[in-house]
Amino acid sequence: MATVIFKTTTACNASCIYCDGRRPDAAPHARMTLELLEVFFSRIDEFLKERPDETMEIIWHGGEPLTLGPEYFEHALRLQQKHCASTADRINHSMQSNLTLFRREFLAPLKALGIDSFGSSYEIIDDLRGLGPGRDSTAYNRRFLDAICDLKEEGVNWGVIYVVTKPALSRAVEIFHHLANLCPWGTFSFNSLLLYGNDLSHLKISPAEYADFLGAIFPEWWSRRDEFSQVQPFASLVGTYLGETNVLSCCDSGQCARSHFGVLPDGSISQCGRSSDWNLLNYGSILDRSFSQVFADPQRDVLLERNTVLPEGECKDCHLWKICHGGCPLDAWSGSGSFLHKSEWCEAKKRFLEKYVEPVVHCAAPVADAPASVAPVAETNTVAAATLISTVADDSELTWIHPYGGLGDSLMISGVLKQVSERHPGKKFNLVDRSKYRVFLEGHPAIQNIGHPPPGARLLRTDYWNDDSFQVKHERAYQVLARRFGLETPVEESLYVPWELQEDPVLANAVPWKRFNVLVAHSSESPRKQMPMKTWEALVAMLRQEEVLPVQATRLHDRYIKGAYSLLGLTTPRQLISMMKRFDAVITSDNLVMHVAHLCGVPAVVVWGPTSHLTYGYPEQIHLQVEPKCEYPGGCLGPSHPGLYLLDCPHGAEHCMNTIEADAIYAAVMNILNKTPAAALTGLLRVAEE
Amino acid sequence: MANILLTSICNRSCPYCFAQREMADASSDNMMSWDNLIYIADFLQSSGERHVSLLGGEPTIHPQIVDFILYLIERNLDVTVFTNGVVSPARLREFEQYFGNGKVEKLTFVCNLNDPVLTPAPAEETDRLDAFLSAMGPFVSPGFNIYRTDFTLDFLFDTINRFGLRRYLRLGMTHPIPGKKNLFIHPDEMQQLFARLYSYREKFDAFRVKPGLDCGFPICRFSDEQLGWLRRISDPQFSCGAAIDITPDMSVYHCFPLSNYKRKSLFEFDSLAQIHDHFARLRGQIKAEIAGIYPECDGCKYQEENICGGGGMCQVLVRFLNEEPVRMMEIENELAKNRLPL
Amino acid sequence: MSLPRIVCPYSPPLLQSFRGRSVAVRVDDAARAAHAAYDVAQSGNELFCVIVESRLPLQDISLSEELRGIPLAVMAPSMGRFRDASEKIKAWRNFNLRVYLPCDGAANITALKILSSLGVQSCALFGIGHDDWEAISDLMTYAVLGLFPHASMEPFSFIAKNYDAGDYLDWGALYFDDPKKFLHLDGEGRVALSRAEREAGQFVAGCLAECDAAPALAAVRERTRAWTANFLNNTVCSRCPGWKVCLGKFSALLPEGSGCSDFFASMVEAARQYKRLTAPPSEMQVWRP
Repeated sequence: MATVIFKTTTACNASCIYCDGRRPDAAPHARMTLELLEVFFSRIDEFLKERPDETMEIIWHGGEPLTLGPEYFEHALRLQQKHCASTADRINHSMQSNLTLFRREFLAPLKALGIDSFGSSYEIIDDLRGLGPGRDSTAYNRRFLDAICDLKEEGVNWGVIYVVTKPALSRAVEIFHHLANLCPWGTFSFNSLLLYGNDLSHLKISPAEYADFLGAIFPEWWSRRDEFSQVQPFASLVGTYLGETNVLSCCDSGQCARSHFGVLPDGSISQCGRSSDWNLLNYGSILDRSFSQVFADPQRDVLLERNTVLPEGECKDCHLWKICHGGCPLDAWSGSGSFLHKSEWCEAKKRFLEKYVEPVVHCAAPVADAPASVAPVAETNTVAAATLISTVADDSELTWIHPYGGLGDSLMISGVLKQVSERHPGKKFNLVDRSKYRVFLEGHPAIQNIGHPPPGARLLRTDYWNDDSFQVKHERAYQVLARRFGLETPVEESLYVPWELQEDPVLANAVPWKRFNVLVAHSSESPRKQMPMKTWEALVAMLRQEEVLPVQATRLHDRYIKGAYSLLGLTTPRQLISMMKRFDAVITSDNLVMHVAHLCGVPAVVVWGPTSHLTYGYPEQIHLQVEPKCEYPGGCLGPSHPGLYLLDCPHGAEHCMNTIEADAIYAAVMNILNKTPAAALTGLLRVAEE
Repeated sequence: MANILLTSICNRSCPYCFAQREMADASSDNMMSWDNLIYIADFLQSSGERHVSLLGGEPTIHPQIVDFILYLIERNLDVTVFTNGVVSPARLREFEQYFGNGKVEKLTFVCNLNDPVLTPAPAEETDRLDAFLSAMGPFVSPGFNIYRTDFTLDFLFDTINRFGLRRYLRLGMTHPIPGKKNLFIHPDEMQQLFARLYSYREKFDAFRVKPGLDCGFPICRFSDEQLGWLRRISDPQFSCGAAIDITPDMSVYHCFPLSNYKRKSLFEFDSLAQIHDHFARLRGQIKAEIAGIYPECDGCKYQEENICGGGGMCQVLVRFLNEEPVRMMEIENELAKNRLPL
Repeated sequence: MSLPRIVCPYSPPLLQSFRGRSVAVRVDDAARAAHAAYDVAQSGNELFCVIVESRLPLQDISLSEELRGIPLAVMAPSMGRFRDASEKIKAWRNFNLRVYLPCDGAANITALKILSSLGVQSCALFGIGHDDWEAISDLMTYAVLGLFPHASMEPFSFIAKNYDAGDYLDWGALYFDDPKKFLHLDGEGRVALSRAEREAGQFVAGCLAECDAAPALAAVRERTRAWTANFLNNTVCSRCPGWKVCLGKFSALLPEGSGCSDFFASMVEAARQYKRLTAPPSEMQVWRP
């Protein structure tokens, strides 16, 4: 889109202190004649006909364009209708006005030209903007406020440019809120005061000061940026910085050479409003040059050259190049006498973005809470294993076993304690009453009492996984437990239950036993140890085809495997163990049943993934071990990842346990049932027989 | 259902009171405000609740109880007021004026009655109780808390008949308060207790009074015959679940005995379901340590199928209080609050 | 643009002095409300509502069945005891009614919540001096973001529903205080721009007919643009975060630094949250052949 800054008059009714039009060397006030106005519109039409895809924005500027009076705009409308009949739909008008001369009579022609909003300026600090020679700020603002009320009643929008001066620096947030309230739809911008020379040094601000002014406002803007999506320079700078938008002002786009020019009251053409004030980049007159010729003027080349020179030079490696493009070329010229330098106002953008924006928009994400897990109680009164046997033999107080872990761990403790009591007859412990531990330890020869340890009691913890030898040396769990209880290792990994086997005759007689009967125990408290149900169902189907009876006999709420004979929830651990001898083989994951199979001498096929058979599995069992290909190659379940036990594996189909195939398990089971030596299996799985 | 505590002040001193902790710890001017009541009503109704209970201390002490009851009923909630019946004459007149002669439906009083012989009360209390029952009888269901094994129920049947009370008896068993000393029924006394209750079956049948069991009754200490009788005439529950008590200062806790355990603010929750989840996790933690009040609760199939709650959780927690800290950190941290010297 | 509505006392001669207007007629006794409504209709005017300005608490105000369907604005000093008002409140749910109560104490603030929670529309009167802004803020939070559906409570519900981040919101009409929409007549037909100005004897015209004259029009214009003075004078209100929904309504009544700013800032936040919560879900585009 081409943009013409159309200065039809340099006359103004205001006397803003920093206005270029008030410089002593400024030209006398001028007003574009109607003849020139007609030439202008014919040039517009000419330009748009030469470029069928182009649109033209005409920004009525000045001075103060409303000094022209409503009749002037009525005339402009007639001229546009006369000269731009076929191109008027590609012409957009807007106006920059102080609004202090606004009357409703302006609205008809301006609306007909398509002007439905005004750009304006506003100041809350006295004596910077005002009317008349006395610079009456109150009168200025009163008229401005009246005008915006009229505009609101007529449904016309407006926005303001706020020029940031030194007195404003300490009132940044106040000014922001004032403007946000005055202009509720949020069309306002903060522009830095641009002064050249030493005039008005009490008003001039530096790039750093401008950046800090914006920075003071930024948190307020950022918190409500959805409401203030039109407040500049925040919206464009921050939006472009974040990649959310790609709309930059003419100063930052680096493309003004392709898009902008200014026309003065006498018809002369310059690059923009400021360039004409400084007598730079003059492109002739509308009387003898078309706008296409203006855009093709070789003087513009230097402006475009900035886009190649600066990135290789002063702006090399600047991560803000795409937001800034070296700033306004006129500012560059002002500072250095050349267009091929960056503007000093680049520093303002850089400072604002790096110091104020970056810390807010790129703050580190909060660390996710570690999943809840059972945290061990602070260790007090814990007995050192090395001194356990010798000191306890002298101590009349019994040590309390502080049990941890699942049923499988409980069975291991039972086995270890049996060995303790065999080697040290009469050696007894108390047991802290805790769910799941009575079943294998009540009535144990090594257990005196099960109950609640009194304050100050000596405690012996069974959390072997926190032992260095387990974590670092990957020693087997049973051995670590044994050492905790004072046994010299290695010890045989025997298990023990303190009661006689006692089958439930109703259950035992109800099962339609076949020639071969296999206990299938697929479940675990940890979802990570579980294979998918379809694998188990395929396995059960294969077994049934071979006249093998697959039986499930674990917990009530474990999922039923289609095709299996279900005794789910019907057996206590004692009844299950008592029934174990009826099975010819066991297929299980790393759970209690694996231990029970070892206890009862029933051959087992055990599937492993996130834990290792080397740590828990028994040597006589067949272990189908998958080696995980995820971020935990050694297995994700263990003391170094305590929070993962109850969580699902995030890898979905790539979960290691999902890669075990039913065929492999089936083959291993049939080897047992047919009593053939287990052949080495290849493929995904590694079979470890020791 | 949720219980709204209108006040922590009580005008009676029952030897078994298991709300002692709550009443002792609360500030003396702890009265439910209108604003909090409105919030609670919103909270409960947005959670789909249609019934609230008003408790205390003694809720009838609250100066605006009549307004509150009318308001809650106007909100289409069924209201049950748990009271000791020792109501001031002025308050009783208000009840008669605004609730008498069937002016309101959806209102029930559960009047907690003590044995006049085993738990005697001053004459003035008895007079007030009689006046209350006389005025409000048809709205009232009797309640009784068993705190000694030699309890009697004869006076209850007499009271029901004399005042035309509803023929539904809320039977509670007193529970221990972790960190406090109060009279309560020990697990090893329960079987004897239930046998004594069963010995009253003829009177229950003759007077067509249905016994409703409050929380913490373990199913295993009832014989099959006792269970059969209970099941025939009522729908006994054997659970230990969250009562959800909401205090005047908008705290919420599991139940009276556990009023100081994992107490939270109502404002921390968006719905009653969230509160139930919170306390269900609390129960799960405790049961992960010890399944119930008896050793055989561990692995008990009735618990596994949610038929029995394994007795009152408070009984288990009391044991934890007196032992060396060996439970999981969350439990020990909460219990530490109750281990301070009394 | 439609003509402003007329707020006037119940006086048949006065009602006969103009025609074709929408009228909010004021009575000081609910017993006269039905007659007032009837007489407005008979006078050739249209009834907007009957304003019952009672000195009695709600518990003592009786609305007859014939008032059902007539728009009523009941202004009372208090609710009274809920137990005595509850039957009335139950009946009033079926009336076209809004109850106005002053926020001059905790009891009335609670009463507003009670009314709203029981399905009776209500309106809070505040900004009358010595306001407990924190309590009003709690009331507003309940009205806008309460957990459970309830009747609207003004001006909070209105503000929340109509808040537009890109515009001002003037809710004075809820209190019949909007010179573009309401003109207040006294018993002699003199015209003021608000109730307060009427009570203070500040009239802009001697009769309705004079309202089209320049002085009256200028007075209306000045009144509707009074908010600009805040920006002209750079008052505290001009930079208050709650400005868009206050417009400096209380700037003359209250000392600077009062809690109104915090309240209206909270009001804006609540309105934004309300908008987010009630925004329709984005429509899923289903492919079409």
